[in-house]
Amino acid sequence: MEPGDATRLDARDSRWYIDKGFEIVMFLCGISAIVFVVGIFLFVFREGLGFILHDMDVGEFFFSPKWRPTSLHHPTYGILAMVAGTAAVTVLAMAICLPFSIGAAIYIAEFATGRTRETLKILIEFLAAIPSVVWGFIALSIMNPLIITLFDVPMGLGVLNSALILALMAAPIVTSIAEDAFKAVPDSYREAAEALGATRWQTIYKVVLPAARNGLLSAGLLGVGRGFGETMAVLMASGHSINLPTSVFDSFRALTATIAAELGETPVGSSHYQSLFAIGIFLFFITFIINMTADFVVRGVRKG
Amino acid sequence: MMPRFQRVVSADSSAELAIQTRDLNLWYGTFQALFDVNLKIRQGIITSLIGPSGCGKSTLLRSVDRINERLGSVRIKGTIELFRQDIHAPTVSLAQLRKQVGMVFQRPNPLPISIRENVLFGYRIHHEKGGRIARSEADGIVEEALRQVLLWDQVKDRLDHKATVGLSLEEMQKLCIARLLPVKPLILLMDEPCSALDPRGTAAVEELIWELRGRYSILIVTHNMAQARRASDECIFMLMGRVVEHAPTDQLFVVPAHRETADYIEGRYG
Repeated sequence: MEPGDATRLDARDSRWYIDKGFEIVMFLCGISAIVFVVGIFLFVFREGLGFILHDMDVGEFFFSPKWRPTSLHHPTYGILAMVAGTAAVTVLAMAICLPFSIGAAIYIAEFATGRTRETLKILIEFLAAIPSVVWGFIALSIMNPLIITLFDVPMGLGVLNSALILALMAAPIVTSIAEDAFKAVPDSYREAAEALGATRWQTIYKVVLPAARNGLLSAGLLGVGRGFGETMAVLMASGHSINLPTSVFDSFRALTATIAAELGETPVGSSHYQSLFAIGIFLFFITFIINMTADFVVRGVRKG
Repeated sequence: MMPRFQRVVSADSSAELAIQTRDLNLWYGTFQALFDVNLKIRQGIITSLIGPSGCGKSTLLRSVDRINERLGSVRIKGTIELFRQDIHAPTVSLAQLRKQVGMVFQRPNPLPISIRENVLFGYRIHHEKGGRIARSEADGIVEEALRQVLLWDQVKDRLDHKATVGLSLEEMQKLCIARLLPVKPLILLMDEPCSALDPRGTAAVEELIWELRGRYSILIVTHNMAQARRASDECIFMLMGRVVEHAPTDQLFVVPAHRETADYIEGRYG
């Protein structure tokens, strides 16, 4: 007997096509992220490659504090001052941000309950949503006069101001990742410690913190990545003068801010233009390394 | 290790009581889990708690060291006394209470630190000098505790390994018992300590519990009636948050006084 259409095993109805189509669309969405990342990398690299191959003196680029790309007679392209400024501000920002963020995360994850906890989480997410130019505005109009009056210095824009702003900007991210790290510690550990007679503080200090160590480390690294990559707020808070900072009140210039401030004013294809892309490549590598490290550290958490 | 209390089990019914509850009622939020529980649990013997799921046996066990208060919404009426001291008296310190009352959980829950530090954890937190103890003293404590739970020979070469990896469930559960001993508790609470173990592990842990009998007053919750029968001196049968029967184990299993007990131990429900 000839089998009817309904019993054919290879029948392809509309559901089959919708399913296949959906699969293809999702595949495209999935790989688009990779395509874009690779595309951005290739573009930045292509623009900066000319400079790296021809004009760049590696020693000067990394070890000279003199950034004079517009000099007519002898342009120099040294990023040392900017690297030092960016690094100093990132370290100081993390020193301010980490204790507060981890403290906040401990409170939210271990002590706060019910409505307090939900309110705090929403407020922290709200903090993360403030645009960086608003932070820059706060740096200019609130922190600047505050630092001038508090410390009796001629100018409040510089390392300290930028670090405070960056600490505030990184705090919500660091807090929420640290909180996730605490949440990932199985409750059976806390129960075991408390059943042995440990107090809340002993439980946190001796059990929860060590168990969440890797997650906290990766939270810190993401904060560092934020510090290195932040542009607008730092541009506004730093004073933007090329200077190897020797005190926390010194003005400095961030790598990112240099690109933002100068790219629009350089002739496309000039050495100056290309040197800015070289800085971009350098930043790309730094953040790439930081994110990879954070990623490996987090993976360590899952294994261990 | 010389246990502080080493008393021979006495057949005398006036033997000292380890745990006594009076009209104990307990609510989780609005749900009442225990109704008028009056129990007298003698010192130095193994008492098993049996009953179908949700009958309140774990709740009762977890009230004795007040660990169920972690849930936040627990409300209690009535009293629980350990050696004639009310555990809910305002002056009671949870740390001291839990030092006297050790607890073994259903799933072995070693802490994510070394085997050695697991054994020393309780000892350190109850130690006056912030847990700083001499290496030789620590070694002695660790060996003694692990020997008591019959685990020393298996783990003596890897004391510094993490306790959460590389140990079998049975070994983890023994370790969880071992870490209670250095603080010298008087009472051990065990919440289905063998339910995550295979038959061999179960036999080994039961043997260990029987070894500890006499030195500690042991209250053990079990789903496994055969286990209650072979590994306890007295048995409490609970149903729907109430104590139905409390009798010597032999008596309860052979001539139960209540119809519900008889039906349960014959497997008609539960």
